[in-house]
Amino acid sequence: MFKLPGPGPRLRPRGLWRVLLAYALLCQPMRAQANTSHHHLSGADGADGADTDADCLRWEEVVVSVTATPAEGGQAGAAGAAGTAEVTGIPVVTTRKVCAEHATLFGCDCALGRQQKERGSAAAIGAALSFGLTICRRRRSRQPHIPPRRKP
Amino acid sequence: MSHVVNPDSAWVEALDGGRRTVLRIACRLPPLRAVFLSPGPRLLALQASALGFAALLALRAPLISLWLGAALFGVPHVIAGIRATAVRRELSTLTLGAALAGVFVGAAQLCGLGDTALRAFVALFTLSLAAEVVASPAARARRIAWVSLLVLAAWPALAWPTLAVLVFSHLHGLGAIAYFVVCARRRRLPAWLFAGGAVALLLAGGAGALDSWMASTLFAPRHSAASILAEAGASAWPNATGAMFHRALFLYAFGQSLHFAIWLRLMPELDRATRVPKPFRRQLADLRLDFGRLATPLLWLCAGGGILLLFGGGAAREVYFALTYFHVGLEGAALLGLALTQKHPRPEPESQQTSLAPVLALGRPERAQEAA
Repeated sequence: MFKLPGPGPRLRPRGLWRVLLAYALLCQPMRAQANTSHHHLSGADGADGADTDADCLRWEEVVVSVTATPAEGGQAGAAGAAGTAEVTGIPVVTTRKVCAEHATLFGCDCALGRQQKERGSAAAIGAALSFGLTICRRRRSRQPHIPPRRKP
Repeated sequence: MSHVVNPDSAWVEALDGGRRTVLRIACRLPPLRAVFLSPGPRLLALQASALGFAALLALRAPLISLWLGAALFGVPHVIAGIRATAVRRELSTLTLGAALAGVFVGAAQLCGLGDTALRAFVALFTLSLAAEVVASPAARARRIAWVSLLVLAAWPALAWPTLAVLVFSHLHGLGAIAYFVVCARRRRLPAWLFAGGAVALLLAGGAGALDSWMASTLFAPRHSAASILAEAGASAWPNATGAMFHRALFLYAFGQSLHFAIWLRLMPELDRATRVPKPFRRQLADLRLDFGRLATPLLWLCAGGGILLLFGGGAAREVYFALTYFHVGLEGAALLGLALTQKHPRPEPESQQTSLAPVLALGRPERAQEAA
């Protein structure tokens, strides 16, 4: 009879949750953003190349317009990063974020697109998980084998 | 794969042969010989070179410094930090548990947990700091005061995560400097050059005295630009003026470079029992003694992580930052524990190669017994 080569007795339900956890993490749509990122908040993920301000080093808010007439529930509807002061009775100031300083980029434009970025992130997490699993498995395999308790 | 990083392997012997040749030539010069043979002058030389390089890079190429620093020293410095704070010194079990939980929070953050992950990090950091306070031998009133202060500080951090990240990012570098200075003073080794120089440069940079030395054009690699620029942008408060932004970026990049130097070069120098640096074979054996069977995977992780961070673009950086963010809290907790035991020193273990390997049974049994 054909016998499947496999982990055999090592694939126990106790270890299965780790595999399921890895699958759950990998199948989840990932954003590949570390909000802390050592230390940064990672708002911009403009590595897709489509962003014209991908090289922006510093942003500044500038006043786009000052509307004299008060707008109730005022959303002035400015596009993009424009913000609107929502007030009644005083002039409405519309601001917009503009790039105040650019960095000079060098090297190839081999930045990962959003999809590739997500895949790269998933692969990295998968690698980290499999690294952890390997360590756990090695440690477990070193432990002395304890035969299962049999029912009398 | 483990035979490749075996202390007795041929390539380690070859590296040691090269090291012997370089040292033989270098030690013909009396100043270099003095630096190599005496711990005091060697430590001073290392401090001066760390300060010089960190200041130069932070002034002239801060974005390159952030990129190469994370790529070349990122993973190794996290491992070296864990080794110095948790393996060679003592940390409470709760702190270690919080650090482990931080890895999972980082993974969850990559899945898009957002500010919730940040708040979880703040909670974990507070927990680990409080655990070190409680475990310290300080007076009860002092411990209660510290825990109250931590809870009070955690509240605004939970409410305004942006503020918390900004504060963490600067305190992380400064904390490493403080940790090194405290450890050096306890071992009666010179740290005045480092402490004085770092404080003077930080004050000068913050006050604007170094503005004219700062580069007007900042270069960054295109493939990691988004991640590096976002990291640089978060070093200053949003809507900061140009001058304030550049000063904050200098302080951040300078602190980052110094903290890499501390965990990778200066702290091992302090912890070494011998007067002269050890050959690679001995260093590898020491690493195995500290981390047991994890030593080989960790070395591969350093090599692979470095390559990925150099060429993997922003995604690799994001993954690295998220999965290693726990070390910010771990090092903070270690510093607080160290500061609280300053007047009430804990009993030092007889051997410097301490506890984790036998506790976790990571090493081979004979190694664990030797470490114990």
